[in-house]
Amino acid sequence: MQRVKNNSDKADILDDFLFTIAHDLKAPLSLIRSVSLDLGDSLGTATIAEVKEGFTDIAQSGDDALSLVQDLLTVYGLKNSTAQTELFPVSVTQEINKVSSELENMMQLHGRKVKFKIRPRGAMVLANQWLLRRSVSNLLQNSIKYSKGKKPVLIEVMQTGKSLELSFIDNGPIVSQADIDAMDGTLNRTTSKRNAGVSGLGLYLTGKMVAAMQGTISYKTADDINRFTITLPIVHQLSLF
Amino acid sequence: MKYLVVDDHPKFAKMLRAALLAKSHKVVIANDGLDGLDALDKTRFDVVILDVYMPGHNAVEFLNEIRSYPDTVDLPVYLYSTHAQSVVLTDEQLQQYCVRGIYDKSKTTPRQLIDLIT
Repeated sequence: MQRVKNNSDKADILDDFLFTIAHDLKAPLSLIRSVSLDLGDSLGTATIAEVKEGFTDIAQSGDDALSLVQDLLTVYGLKNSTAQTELFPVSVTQEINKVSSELENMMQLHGRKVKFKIRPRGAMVLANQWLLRRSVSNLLQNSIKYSKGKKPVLIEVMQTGKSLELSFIDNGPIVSQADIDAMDGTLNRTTSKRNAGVSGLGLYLTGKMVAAMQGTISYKTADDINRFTITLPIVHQLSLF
Repeated sequence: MKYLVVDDHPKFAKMLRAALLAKSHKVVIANDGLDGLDALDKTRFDVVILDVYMPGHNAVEFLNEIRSYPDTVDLPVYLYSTHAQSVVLTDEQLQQYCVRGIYDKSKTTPRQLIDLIT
């Protein structure tokens, strides 16, 4: 992690952080504004299906903005010991299923499918349910958003010794050094092929949440395939069948 | 008129498409700069509406490339971005790339944009 040397460095980091937050909030808020104005203009002429679609878009964009704000509050709370960080056994399969169903609209919008390879299916990790769910959601959203062509995103879960590795595999643009730094807790205002202009606030927040669960997050790339992996301590296995 | 919309945000791309179709224009959507260049290789367009920050190939890379080919050197391009106000390209760059206009997604809806440029 980058060391802060003086007040000027701190001010720069704060500037970059605020810039990144503003950027990531501006897109969903702009969409809410555009769809709302369109709906207003088309009152009386739009079909019920069009109006329904518009409200769904507004709700989805509102969710995107609120999720980001909630993650910021959670990470701030972790730092200031006001958030719950107790770790309990959590079923990985259940959390992945939960997140996947929450993201169905997004998958549909991007025309993306998600495949699963979970071994063992009954695996439980020592984690905080909320933090795990948000971490899985952030990484899965990134993969859905940045994958290319028709290739599905793959979520692979496998046991390695006393740990469980949750990997999110996609064929999107290779992750920049700025994004990797973000996972380790440093945000840089640099152009990133993957994150469209600014470093990945989502990755930064995910890194913080995984660290709060005493886990690690890593990134590997080979043959145009990206693999983000969260590693958490495994508790025990349950047979679901 | 035939429009090429290059935008990685599927919802904004969809709204632009709907607004253009409502005015009887033809539209092709590209999800990033590279897809946009592919589309330009295959088809001749009258206008490009271009997002600025995109994965893969951003607006500057896209503009650099199309301005280097004779058949697209004068192709009208409008920038449409969440960052239009805080951005991005200097006045000199805009002039250099022959950008016809730059609009912010937070101030101009897709439908308003199409009303302004068509």
